[in-house]
Amino acid sequence: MGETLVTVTAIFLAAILMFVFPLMTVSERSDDISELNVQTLTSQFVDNIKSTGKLTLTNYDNFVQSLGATGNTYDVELEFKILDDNPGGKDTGSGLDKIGENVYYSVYTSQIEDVLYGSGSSAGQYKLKEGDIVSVNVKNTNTTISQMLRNFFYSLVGNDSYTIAASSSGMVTNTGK
Amino acid sequence: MKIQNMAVVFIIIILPISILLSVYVKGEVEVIKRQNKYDQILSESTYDAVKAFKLNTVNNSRSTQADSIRRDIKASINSFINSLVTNLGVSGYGTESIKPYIPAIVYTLYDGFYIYSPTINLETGVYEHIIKPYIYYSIRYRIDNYNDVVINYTLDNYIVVYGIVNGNYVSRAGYLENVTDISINGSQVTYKGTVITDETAKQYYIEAREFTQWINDNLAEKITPSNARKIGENDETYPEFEGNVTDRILNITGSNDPQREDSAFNVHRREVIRLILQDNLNSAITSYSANSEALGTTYNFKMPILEEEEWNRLIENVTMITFMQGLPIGNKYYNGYSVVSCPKNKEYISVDSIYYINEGDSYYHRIDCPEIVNENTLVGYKNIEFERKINSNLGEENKEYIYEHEENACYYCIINSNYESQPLTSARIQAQYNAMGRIRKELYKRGDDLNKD
Repeated sequence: MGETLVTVTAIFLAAILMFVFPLMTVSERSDDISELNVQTLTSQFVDNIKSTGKLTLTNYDNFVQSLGATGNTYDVELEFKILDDNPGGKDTGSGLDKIGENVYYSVYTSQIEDVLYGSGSSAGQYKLKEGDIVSVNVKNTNTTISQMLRNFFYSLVGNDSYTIAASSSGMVTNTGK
Repeated sequence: MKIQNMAVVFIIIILPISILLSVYVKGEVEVIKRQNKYDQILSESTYDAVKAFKLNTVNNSRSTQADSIRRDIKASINSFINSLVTNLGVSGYGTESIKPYIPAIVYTLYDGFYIYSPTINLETGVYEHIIKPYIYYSIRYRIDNYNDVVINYTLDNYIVVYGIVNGNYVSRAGYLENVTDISINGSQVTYKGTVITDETAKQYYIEAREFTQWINDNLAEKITPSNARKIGENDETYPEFEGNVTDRILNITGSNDPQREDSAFNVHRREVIRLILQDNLNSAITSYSANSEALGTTYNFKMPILEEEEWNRLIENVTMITFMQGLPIGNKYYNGYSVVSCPKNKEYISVDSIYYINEGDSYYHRIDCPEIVNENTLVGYKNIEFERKINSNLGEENKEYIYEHEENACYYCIINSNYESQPLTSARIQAQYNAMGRIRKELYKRGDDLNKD
């Protein structure tokens, strides 16, 4: 009787150690590599916007597609902070001796996509100018294998339970044409 | 063997492998993250330097002249290095700790460029970073003993020619414009059918026509890219241009219009600028690589291959390129560069960098803005004139910022540039030609003295 119990426990343990444990490690590594990939893609994407001063539809589509090539689905959040040149001086006398008053307003993913996928001569690209700020956040929306396995042992629930995330931001250095 | 033993053996084999693998992957992730971070730091520091350059040139009325611009560039380099050490978090060690990792910084200006790189300072005999002498975008064409000229190209259609033409020594400079586009009738000047009203702009078109006519008469039929020679005793040719005997680059006609991006003149001009930049930069970096022990590093510095799109940016605007190499990041060395252009400067004005004001509202616009109220009163100015500058009449104590023009930026076309661009009406085209001519005529150019004798 005792012997059987030990054998069953041993088989059970062996199964976990031989299959589940390696599977978990491998899937976590796979997520790490995806994250690395996503991080690099995001930096490149933001660098491109920063140096050219515009986001083109082709670049945006390419970025979303390359993200998809890692085998997961992602939520891409774009935020452009547009520098307002006017406050801080011309009309108000008090501003004459001041420097560094920068006012920004933000546009977000849906507004940017409206312009990108819109119609008319301005469609197909979102132009920015020198001094604007770009920031891009990416996180996965599907459940990866490593998340699934982890949930099997200890469960993590909620909307923000992503494992692959990347963000990049910076100041636009060129006025888009 | 019992299954338990097998499991133990299996774990003994798998566990170290998976731990090692995970450590390695984590390490790689760190390296790439650090590389991205350094890329960002480099590009931000370069942007700071460009901004410093812009601020200094706005407030320096002689910024286009040789010694004065060296001072602005020195200040810009200082702000680059300060920004770099602060961002890298090594400001405690001072700027000298980071300099050995900077093999070169390049400023491409209107008619040439400066390289800042380590070399022997002849005054002190010390091997250190200095701004090397200005290098023009110039190339020599040798046809025979009676026709041997050097041509300085610029970022636009202005060229300087000096050397022997038809057996006589000449030195001339001017803008190239298609002669048939400009017609002069008494005091009326028209360009591409549009009457030019601005007096300074008229001067520009008259002089451009005269200069281009001279080029067409004297050099147009002789010069092809295959005549290009390296400076030196034995008249070495450029392998890049060999065999191109058909392109009459200086024969300015409707099909070779310098205003067109794809004209033979522009194609050749870009190739020349790129070649000269590449050669000089390459030799600066290679020479530092051979002598880098003098600054305490043994990294093998190499010039990275710049992308086509980056070359285009370089030869279309005043630009700064910075290189940073040899900084250890984890299990490898950082090797990166950054190209940042400076569209607001006093050196060079492209068609896109002219803003227009009109009498209908108190905003300045781009030429194709839908919000322009009164087209017939449009006047164009350089974009840099709309920048805030220090009122120099008040002295240091009463520092005050002023604007040359009191108009605000248009929210449609300048602050948010995603607008429906309007087709150019004849009034707008006239404003554009007037502004272009006037601004080009007013720009200070280093070759201007040549026409005075």
